Amino acid sequence: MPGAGSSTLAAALADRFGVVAAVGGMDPPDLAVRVIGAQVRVRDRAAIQAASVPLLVVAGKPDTRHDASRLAQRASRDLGLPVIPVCGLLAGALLDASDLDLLRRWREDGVQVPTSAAAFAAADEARGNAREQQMRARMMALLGRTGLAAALEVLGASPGATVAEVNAALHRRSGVDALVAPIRQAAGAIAAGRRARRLAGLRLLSARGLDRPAVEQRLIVESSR
Amino acid sequence: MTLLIAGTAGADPSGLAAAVKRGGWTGRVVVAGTAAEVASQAAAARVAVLALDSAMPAAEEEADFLAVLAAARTSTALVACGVDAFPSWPRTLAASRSRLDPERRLPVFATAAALADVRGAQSGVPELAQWCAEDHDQTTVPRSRKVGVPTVDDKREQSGPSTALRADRLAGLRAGVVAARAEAASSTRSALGELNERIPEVCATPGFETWLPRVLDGVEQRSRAMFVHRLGQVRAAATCGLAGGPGAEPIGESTPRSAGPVLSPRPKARAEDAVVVVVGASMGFGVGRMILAPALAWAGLGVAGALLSLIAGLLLALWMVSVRRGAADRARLERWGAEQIAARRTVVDHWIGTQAGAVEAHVSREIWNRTRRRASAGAHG
Repeated sequence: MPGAGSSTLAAALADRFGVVAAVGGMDPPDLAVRVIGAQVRVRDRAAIQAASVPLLVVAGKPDTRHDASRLAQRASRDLGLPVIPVCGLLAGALLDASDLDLLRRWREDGVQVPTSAAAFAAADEARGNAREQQMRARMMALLGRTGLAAALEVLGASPGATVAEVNAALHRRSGVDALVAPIRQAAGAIAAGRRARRLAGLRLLSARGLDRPAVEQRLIVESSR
Repeated sequence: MTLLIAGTAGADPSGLAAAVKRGGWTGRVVVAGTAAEVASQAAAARVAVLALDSAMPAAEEEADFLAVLAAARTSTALVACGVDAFPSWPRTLAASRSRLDPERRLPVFATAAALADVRGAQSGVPELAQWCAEDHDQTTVPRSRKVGVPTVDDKREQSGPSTALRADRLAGLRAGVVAARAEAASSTRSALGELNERIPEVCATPGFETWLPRVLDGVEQRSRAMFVHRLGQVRAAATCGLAGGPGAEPIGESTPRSAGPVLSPRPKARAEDAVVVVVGASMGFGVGRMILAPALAWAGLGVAGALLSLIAGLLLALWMVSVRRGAADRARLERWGAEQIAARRTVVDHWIGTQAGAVEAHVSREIWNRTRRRASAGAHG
C-alpha cells in the first residue's frame, strides 16, 4: 500500500537477506510481505485474503508511532495473523565512514534530535549554514528521527564504534530479525509453491502444443516425485 | 458544543483530541474510529474533524467517514496529523485531498499534537481549535458521493466475455486436461509399478491367477474414476460463469472397461512332461543302481534289489520333474503377471488419452457456443 513503507522495506530485505524483493508486480513471488500502516485497512484485508503464496504481515514505519507495538498487536488480533513491526529505514541502514564522522562530530557538539523531524534541519545552530542544513536533512532522510537518535545513542555508549557496528546496531533496532523465523517456517510452503508453479508451467507449455509428448512425459516424471 | 474527531488509528485521533482540548477547545470532544461510530455521533456534533494519517494517503476508510459526515451535513475540516514525524506530509496531504475533496472546498490543517505543549513550536493545534469554535456555512459541509459507483475500470472489468477471455478459458481447459491426464497416468503407473514389484513374492501363492485380475480391475477403476472426476472439475472451471445452461455431458469413449478375458496361465499336461518322466526315470534308475548296487550286493537281494533300484529311480525322477515343473510354473506366472500388468497399463493409457481428447474437444465446443450466445445477448441488451 502506498505510504506504508513497502519500497523501503523491499530494499532493506534485498540488502539484508540477499533476496530479490520488489513492490507489486512479481509474478508470482515465493513469499509475499504485506506492509500495513498503523492499522489493517480494507484493501490490506482483501490482499491478505487473496494471497495464494505464504504471506507475512509487517507493520511499517513503527519508528514514527509512539505506540507501534500496541497497534501491531491490535492489527494482529484483527487479522488473526502475526503482525511484525519492522522499520525499513533502519533495516536497510548503510552508513559509511563519512556519515559516521559526521555523527561523531554531532555527538561531540551535543547536537540534540528534536521532536519534529523538520525542525532538525532548521535548528538554531544550523541557521545560516546551508551545508550543515543540507547534511542534517540528508541524515534525517537516511535514518529518520528515531534512527538518528539511536545512532547518536550508540556512539554515546561506544565512542569508538566502527561503521559496521553502528549499522549492525541500527539493524537490530529495526526489528527485521524477527522476520527470519517466520520466513524459515515458510520454507516448506515456498518449496511446495515452487513445485506447483513449475508443474503449472509445464502444463501450460504442454497445452500450447509445442513438443507436447515430451513435455507430458516430463510432467509425469515430475508429478511422481 | 460537540466536536467529532474521526480517523483511523494511524492518525491518532485520540492524541489530536487531547491536544485540541489543551489548545483552547472548551466543548465536548468525541472520537470515532469506524464509520458506524461516526454515523452515530455525527448528528449531535456541531463540527467535525477528519484526522488523516500523514504516513499514507487517504483510502476507503477516510472516504467512508467523509461520506457519513456529508450525509449528516456536518461542517468538516481535513486535518493532517503527526506532521512532525513525516517530512513528506505535504505530498501525502495533497494526495488525500485530491481523493477526498477534489473541489478543494473543505478547510485543511496540518497538526503536530506532540508539539502542542512545546513553547514556540507551531503545532497547528490552536488554529484548528479556533476554527472549530467559529460558525461555519454550508461550504464547509462535504459533498455527498455515491458509494459503490463503479469506475470506468470497474465497468471494463465487468464487461462481457471478449476474445481474450475465451482464449484464456480454452488455454485453461487445455492446461487442465493435460494436468488431469498427467496425474491419472502418473497415478496408474505408480500403482502398477508397485504391483509389478510384488509379483515375484506372490506369484507362487495359490489363487494368484484370480487375485491379479481383480487387483488390476481395482487399479483401472480407480484411475478411471479419478480421471473422470478431474475432468469434471476442469470442465466446471472452464465453463464457470458462462451464459446459458451447461451442455450435455461429454460422451465417454466406448472401449470396454476391462482388459478382456484373462487367459489361465496353467498349461495342460503335455507329451513333453511324459518324456521328462521317462528320461528322469532312466536317469534315476542309473543313479539308483549306482547308489544302491553296492548295498544290494552286500545284502545279496538279487532281483529284488533291481526292483528296489527301479522304484528308487522312479521316485527320484518324479521329484525332479515336480521341481522342474514348479520352477517353470513360477517363471510362467511371473511372465504372465508382467504381461497382464503391461497390457492393462496400455489399455488405461489408451483410454485416458482418448477420453482426454474427447472431453477437450467437447468442452472447447461448449465454451465457443456459450460465449457466442452471451456476446450476442449483450449486443441486443
